Amino acid sequence: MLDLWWCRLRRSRLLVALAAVAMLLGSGVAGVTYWRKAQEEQALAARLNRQVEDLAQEVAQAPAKPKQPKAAERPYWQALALKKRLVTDQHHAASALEVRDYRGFTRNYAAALTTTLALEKVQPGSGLALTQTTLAALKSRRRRALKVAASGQTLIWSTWSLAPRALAARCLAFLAWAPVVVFVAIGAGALWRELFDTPAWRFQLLTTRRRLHLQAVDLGVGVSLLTGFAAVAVGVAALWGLVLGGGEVVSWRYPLSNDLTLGHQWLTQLAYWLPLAVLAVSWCQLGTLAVRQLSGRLALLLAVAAAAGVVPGDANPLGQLQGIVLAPARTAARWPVVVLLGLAALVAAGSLWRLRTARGSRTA
Amino acid sequence: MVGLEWRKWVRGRRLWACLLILVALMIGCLEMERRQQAAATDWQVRQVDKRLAQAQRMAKSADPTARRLGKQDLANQKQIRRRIATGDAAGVLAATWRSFQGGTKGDKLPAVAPIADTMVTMLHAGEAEAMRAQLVYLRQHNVAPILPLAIPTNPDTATTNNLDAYDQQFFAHTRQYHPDAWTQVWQWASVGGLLVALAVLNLFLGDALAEERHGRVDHVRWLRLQNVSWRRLVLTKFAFHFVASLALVAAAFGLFLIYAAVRSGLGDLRYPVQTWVAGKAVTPHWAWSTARDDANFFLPLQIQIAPLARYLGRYAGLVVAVLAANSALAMLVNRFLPSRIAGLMIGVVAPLLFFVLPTSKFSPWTYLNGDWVASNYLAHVLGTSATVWPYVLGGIIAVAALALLGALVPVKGRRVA
Amino acid sequence: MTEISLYQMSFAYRHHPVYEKASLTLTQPGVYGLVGPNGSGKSTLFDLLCGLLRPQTGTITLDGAAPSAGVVFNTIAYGQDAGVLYPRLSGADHLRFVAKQHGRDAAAIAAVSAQLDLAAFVAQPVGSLSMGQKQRVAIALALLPQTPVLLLDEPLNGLDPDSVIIIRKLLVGLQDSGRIVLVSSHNLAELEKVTNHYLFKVGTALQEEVVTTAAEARYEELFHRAATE
Repeated sequence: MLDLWWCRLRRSRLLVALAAVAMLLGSGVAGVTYWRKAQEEQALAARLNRQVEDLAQEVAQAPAKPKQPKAAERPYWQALALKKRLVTDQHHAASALEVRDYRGFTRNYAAALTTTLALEKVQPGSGLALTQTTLAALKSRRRRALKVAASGQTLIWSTWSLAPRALAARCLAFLAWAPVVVFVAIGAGALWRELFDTPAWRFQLLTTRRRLHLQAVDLGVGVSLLTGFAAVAVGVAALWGLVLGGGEVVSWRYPLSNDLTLGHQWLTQLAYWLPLAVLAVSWCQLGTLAVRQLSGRLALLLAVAAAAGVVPGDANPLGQLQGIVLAPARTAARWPVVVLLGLAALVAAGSLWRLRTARGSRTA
Repeated sequence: MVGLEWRKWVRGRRLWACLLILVALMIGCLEMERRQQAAATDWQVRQVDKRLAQAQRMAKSADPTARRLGKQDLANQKQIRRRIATGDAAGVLAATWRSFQGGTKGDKLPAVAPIADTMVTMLHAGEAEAMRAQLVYLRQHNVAPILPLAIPTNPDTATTNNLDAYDQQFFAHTRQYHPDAWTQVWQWASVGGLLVALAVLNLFLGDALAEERHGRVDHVRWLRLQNVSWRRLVLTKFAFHFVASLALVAAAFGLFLIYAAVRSGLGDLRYPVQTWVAGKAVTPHWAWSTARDDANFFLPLQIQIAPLARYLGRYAGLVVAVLAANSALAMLVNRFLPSRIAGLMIGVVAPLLFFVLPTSKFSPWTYLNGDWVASNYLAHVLGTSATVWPYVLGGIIAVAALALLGALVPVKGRRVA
Repeated sequence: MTEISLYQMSFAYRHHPVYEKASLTLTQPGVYGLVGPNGSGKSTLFDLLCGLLRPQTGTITLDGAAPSAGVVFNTIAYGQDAGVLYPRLSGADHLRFVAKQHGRDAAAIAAVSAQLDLAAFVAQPVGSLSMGQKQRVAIALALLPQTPVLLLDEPLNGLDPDSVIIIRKLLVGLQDSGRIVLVSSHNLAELEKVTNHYLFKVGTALQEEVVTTAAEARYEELFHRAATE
């Protein structure tokens, strides 16, 4: 059976098509990241520069500091000194960002956050007014920026990064999104579709001793194709990262939060991948057997995949994977993989039942 | 040929599935919007409750001045809370107008209650003047504002403001809600609803021509023997595809209108919408340091408030043109890729690229942004002061014509297996 | 000895009855011609025997067992319409696959290929073959497994005279092969040369007969007279 499937695969253009689409997708992810990152950096630099202007104006308009300031006025003068320092830090951060000196940006941005926090202590409300965020969030950002700077890495300001590892993680996260993985599985399931959308199933079923064997071989081939697709796409994205993301330094130890690194997120994504691929291929197998009309079948497969992702709850593995990017709040827990395996088994059982019982309703 | 094609379309069931999905998406969008609007109102009430608690503490203070101010603030906050909780649109409008009307008289900065009054001054892409113009319009035309009252932002706000755009406060006071029928269309224009509709339509209609040549099937030779040339086949298929697309969108919208009319009302076609028109430099109503630059951010364009009906009229024109182009492009794809699954999948993916591709005057997807075309914001993106809507429509129709010409290149047809 | 048994079997396509309480038992090896008008249900009978369709009522057994996937695999070889083959694979690819599935070796493939004279085109993709060539490949695939039951659905369709002679010789040879061979065909003249055992699909029933006179005359008697009546 495996020989036949390999023969069919070789004679079709499926491998070439999948490889081409995978390269296109990986390049697309890299391209979109490049553009969005550039937009984000431009906006951030502009915002920092505007704040620098405002602060510089405030500092320039401040009266001259007396030699012996009164005790009640000391916080004001301390705040003014901190604002002066903040002007320098933010200006250097903005300048570094404009020339894509990410190490410089990380260093100066961390310094700016430290100064802002100090300002907040001296003049409560002023620091938070500048960043328009909460104290806890400000402290968390500062902690992360310092940790990143200390480890010699560069800061990922939000979730866009062209570093190869980050880009690979983003690409895999995109592929693991339910509608996308089902979409690719539909494309990769050409052999199963060719079997059951043409009279060929009449030949195949009669020359197959066990239908489970037929299903298992196709499942194995489908999962391999899907995994190969992901590997090519992620590899291409990472290559683009090497080309475009030279200024960034992001390792697997990059801290996404206090107790979570990029490496942890990557491992979690990998842990999800195989059960997700099995579920996607089984789902497409069941769809092909259950719905004859091609458009209706595609609509059902994609709609259910999209809807399943928005069902709330920690136990929903597809919801856990919903558009995970490089942010700690969006990292999936690992235990829902068990739920995913259960779902995959259920769908595969459904396919087998359909294969065994409902074939009679199809005539050539 | 027309009769044959008509029978094929009418006997198929996929059009009903397509209609069902379109209606479900439209109604789902409305319900989600209403839910989010209710959640936003609840959030505002909670913010006011926090201030109420603060004011109550102040009102019990030992200091007589603090007590007086606290009592004033308490009365004020109670009034605000009542207005928000009861949906008193007129009251909210009057209160907001009071803070916006005077310019910089005294120390009063314009505020959209119940938040801090520094927000408007932190936005630098004409938002303050646009808000004032919107309030003037609402008062002049006696149109009830949709609550919570939002600061009208624009795509440049995210890059020009001094706020963290992920901050919930920012989102809460700039999010325009669209809780009734006509404003829902406005929302669909803003969020790329047209492209989602195209993806759904192509899921069911994207193989209209390919099914004549797919796999072992090749009807082309047989049709040629029945005096149906490739050209006639393509033009017939195109006509049916376009008419079916229009009919599906119109039918879905009709059903949605019925639902929305019962659920939340049709809404007011006079509702104010931001548009961009050619204009001169203006004197701002406020005097903070960036006020003049903020008010003239879009020169040679200026923000002008227009009625929703005009916006929707332009959007409708765009929808028709895009549907025609979609039908023509489907013919072109099917002509060169006679695989049904390829036609369907490309038809689904291509429109959805709108959501991931960045804005660029060189990207065709930029011209499919319904909101930008209808409001003429696209003119700012392209660096012109002209009204771009007719040119965009003309361009889309030209693309449709070229695609159709490409699809008309004849095929030989294969031997039937 | 293999037994094919239908007992009170009924099958209908969407309220259109094809078989109603049909019963039949075949135990004797040999070639049986399955004859009936177009659309009467000959291919449907084959599908029912192979488990590709399920009867609404009644039973079908092969050697006493229901036609499950495993039983059918071991008992029946079905020479179907060539449309069931993979167009991008060659006849040789198909033969190798079936041989592997049924534990047959290369010599068996060679023998069957020689029997049906496939050498000239067996290595070409099936999609590029003529109808007659595809038909011969399809028959070869049915001959390869050497199962106790062989079903051939319109094996003479689309064949040139040389191929018809080859198939006829093949069918004559199968008379003494110890297998039950059911051949559905409209070509009564050719069937007569091979067998006088017929299964006539009359109305919604099956009639097993040994026809000593011309098969066409009996056909006329059964179907044209029934029509006029």
